[in-house]
Amino acid sequence: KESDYQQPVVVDSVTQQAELNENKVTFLQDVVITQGSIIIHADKVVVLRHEKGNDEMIATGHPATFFQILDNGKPVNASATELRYQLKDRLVTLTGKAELKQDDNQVNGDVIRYDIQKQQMLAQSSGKGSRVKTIFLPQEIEEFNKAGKQ
Amino acid sequence: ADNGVKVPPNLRAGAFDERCYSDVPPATATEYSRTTPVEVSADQLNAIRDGKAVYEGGVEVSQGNKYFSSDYTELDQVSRNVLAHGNIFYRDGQVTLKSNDQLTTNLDTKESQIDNATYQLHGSPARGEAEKIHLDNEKKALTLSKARFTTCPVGQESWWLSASEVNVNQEEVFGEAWNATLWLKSIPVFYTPYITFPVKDERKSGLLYPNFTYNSTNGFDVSTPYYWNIAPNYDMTLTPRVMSNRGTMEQIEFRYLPAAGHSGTIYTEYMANDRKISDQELNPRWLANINHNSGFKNGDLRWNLDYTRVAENDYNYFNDLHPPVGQIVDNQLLQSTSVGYYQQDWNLKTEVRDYQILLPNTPAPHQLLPQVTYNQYHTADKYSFSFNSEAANFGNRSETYKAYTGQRLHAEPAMLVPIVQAPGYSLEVEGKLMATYYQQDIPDDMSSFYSSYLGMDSLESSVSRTLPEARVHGGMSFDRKTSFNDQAFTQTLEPEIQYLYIPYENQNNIGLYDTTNMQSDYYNLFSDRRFAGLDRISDANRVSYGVTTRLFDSENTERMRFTVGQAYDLVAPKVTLLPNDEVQTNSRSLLSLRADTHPTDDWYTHTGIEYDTESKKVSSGNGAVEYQQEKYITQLNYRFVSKENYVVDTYDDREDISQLGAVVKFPITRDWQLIGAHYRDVQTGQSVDSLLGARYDSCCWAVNFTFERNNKRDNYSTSETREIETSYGLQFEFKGLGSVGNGPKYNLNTRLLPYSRPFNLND
Amino acid sequence: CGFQMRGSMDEKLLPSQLTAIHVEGDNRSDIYRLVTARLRHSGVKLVDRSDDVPVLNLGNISVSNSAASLDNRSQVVEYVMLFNTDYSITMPDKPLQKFSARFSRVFLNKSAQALASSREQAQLRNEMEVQTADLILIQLSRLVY
Repeated sequence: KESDYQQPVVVDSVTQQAELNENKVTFLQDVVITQGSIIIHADKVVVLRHEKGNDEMIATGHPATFFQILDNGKPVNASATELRYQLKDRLVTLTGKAELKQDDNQVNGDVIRYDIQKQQMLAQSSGKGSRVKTIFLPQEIEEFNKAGKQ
Repeated sequence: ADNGVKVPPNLRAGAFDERCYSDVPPATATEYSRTTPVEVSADQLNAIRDGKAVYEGGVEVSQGNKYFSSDYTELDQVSRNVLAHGNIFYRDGQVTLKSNDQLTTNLDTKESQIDNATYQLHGSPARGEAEKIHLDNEKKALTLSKARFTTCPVGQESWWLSASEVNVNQEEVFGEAWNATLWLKSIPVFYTPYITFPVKDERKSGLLYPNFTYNSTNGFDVSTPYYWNIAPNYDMTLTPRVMSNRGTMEQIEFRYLPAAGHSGTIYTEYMANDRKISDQELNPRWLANINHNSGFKNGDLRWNLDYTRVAENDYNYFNDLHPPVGQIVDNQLLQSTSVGYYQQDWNLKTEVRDYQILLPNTPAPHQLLPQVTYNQYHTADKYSFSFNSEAANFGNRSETYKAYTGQRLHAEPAMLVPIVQAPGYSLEVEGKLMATYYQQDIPDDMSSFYSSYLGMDSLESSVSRTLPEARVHGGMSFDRKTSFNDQAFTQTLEPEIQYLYIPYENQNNIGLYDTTNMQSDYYNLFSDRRFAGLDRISDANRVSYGVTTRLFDSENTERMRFTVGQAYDLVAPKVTLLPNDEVQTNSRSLLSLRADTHPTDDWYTHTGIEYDTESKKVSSGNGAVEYQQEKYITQLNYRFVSKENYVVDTYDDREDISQLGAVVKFPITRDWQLIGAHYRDVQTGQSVDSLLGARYDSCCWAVNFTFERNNKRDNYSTSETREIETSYGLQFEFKGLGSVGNGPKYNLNTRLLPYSRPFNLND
Repeated sequence: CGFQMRGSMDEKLLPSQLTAIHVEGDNRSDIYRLVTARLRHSGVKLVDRSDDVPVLNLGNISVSNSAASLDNRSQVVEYVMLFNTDYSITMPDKPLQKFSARFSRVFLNKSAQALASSREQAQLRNEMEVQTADLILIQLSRLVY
């Protein structure tokens, strides 16, 4: 939700390493990052600090997962082997068996770039035979139709 | 019920054989249900919530057995419009569409349009292309603009049918096309601004394709029918017809079905000026035919009208113009209306009937003005009783042959008592009382045709005749197992015997209204009516005897049946049709022989002879042998009728008929096939009708050549010399489209004699 | 010569198991009356449709005339009247069995005596209906019960 971004970012992990000179903090084992309704699970998260709060988190896992409740109350679930979250731009980039589930509508691909603010998603395949797949479930079609009718 | 996909019959290629259409997928029902998920895959998806979702790179969408692919597909979630372009491919259970242009569809309205697409129907050779295909799934309407259609396999396009616009609606019986042009390779051979074609062939078959024939009498004979679907229950076909030797003519058929149980057809033909006819006063030539049936109280009360008429004295109308209606038997145009009330145990019917006879200077038949029949039946366990009665007022409107007229009352109570009905033995007794009363009006200026030629010089004004009848009929049935060249058969032996007694009463004082002699055959030997009609009831003191033997094979199929029968008159019957006919002296009737065999699945034989044992001469006989296999038919047939069979006759120089016929159909190569039919009068050596035809079959078209020579019928001439009529046929059959071209239909029927199979062994 | 009479003298034409039958068809038609009369005379009761009763379905009758021989003026001499009817017999919980009866009789073309000619055709048609009714009874007697 919009209010998520005013919330503090809380990181919880088993171990933590900070290399201050490189402005890099690494969290390892059962890393959980929460910000308002956003929850990220990963095996390892590297946080890179950039100027003017344009921090960036790179979460990797088998898979790393991302969860958020949107303004319309609908949940969004995403997962991939690597999940890069740029806080200021509110941009999530999923690479490696990327999957995004929203309103029973599931998209799979090699790379999915998800702009939370503009609610825009770009899914791409790496071209080596793998494809971006979307499955519309029947109820989804019903709502789709109903939604379209308002 | 299987919802097997029904491809409209005319879109099915003749032999939809693998040879031509191996790559066409079979038609399957489109599996679609609300619960089937839709799967989309692509190289890339770029979607904005409640905005556009853009799939790019090998986009594939599938749901059930519906499949769609393109290079680029865009879905606007608000307007629900879908746009796709680049390598578009769509396939469901029934059709495959391909296009390199663009497809738009709307998920709500279900209307879609595809540009510059090719289409291929499944399970059918029908395919083609169109600049625009517009499909409305709600209204089930399909519109193609600048379309082409063929049934030829890819790469062997021998013909195309192009049209500026075609629309087909599943609900309607007919599709329509505008500016239709038929192309042979790249040569336009046929054009029509508007054409209808049957989508569902409920009411109209492929009749509506232009038809032209050439023969020596009418010259080129071209008719192009236009179907007008006025309303769901009313339609009309207007057919202008041009004959190069005669002139132009209009044929109009109006069909109506206002309510269930009430239907009818009105058919008219009008020709203002026939150039070829010798007697120009006969112009204009016209024909009217009305056929109406009404049922009330779910069919208990029925009214029927069956009326056909041509201009007065236009005797050769049917011989010249061959209208498609009106004749059950040649030269007799029935003009009748009847109202009847029908119940299980009784029925009452009244009918007014007249005829128009297309023979010059012949006595007119009597009319029914009206005839009322009342029949009542009562069936009990031990007997069945029937009471048939008729009252008829016979008129006659002939001026040249002034005839007697009269009223007839007839009552016929009958009692049938089945005494024994065992599997091997049956005996039944029947008694009848036939009471008839005539009131005859014999004009003094009655034509000599009746008084002297037919010998009716002792007609009386009022006559009554009462005749009892007694009949005893018995039959037995034996069978045994037998074998014939080591095949097991069951052979039956069914003797039959009957005694019939009807006393004699002189009936020369009664005129002939609806009575004539019947052809003698095995069944007629056991009938109590030697004459059909009530004006002559023959006396009888007759024993009829006959035996039938049949051979049934192990699957209970009748392989052979041989029947022989005769009757012995203890007292020779004295009643004759005409007063001057000589009375029968021979106490034995004609010997009736009949043999039918079906030895193997391909061979059929039939022979039937009526033989006069006293004069040792055949009265009538016919025979046929046929070999029939999938692509082969060869039949030889022969018919003989001696002229004595005709008692009351209009020709006085009638000859015996001895007609030999041969019918043949056989393939020469995989694509070429020959047909032939020839009928000849053996005694005069005259050829009656000869037909030769050849057919070349390709995957999507066929060409038929036919040539026929037959004697032209001329109802004016009583002499033998006649005109020979030759007709040539060249017909292109565009499989799935119907045939365009001239000449008689390509089949084994000749113009005068249809191909018939006199083999009716009942299995 | 090995022929025995079918069945014995006192046996009924139709096997005793056939005590009742339901006949389906236009009960106002001649063929329906002829067949039901013969069934009653063979001691078979006519009952309404029910699962444990055989059903005889009388199809409609098609009659057509076709020219068979011509004289030297090419006028038709002989017509063959083709009579064709289909009927089916369904024994209780057994599949429907289809039968057809085909008969043909010859009559001469008497164009001038039109009324007499149509009376002759009506007579031929009635006689072939009687033949059909007899054939249906024989077929019923041959069915295995």
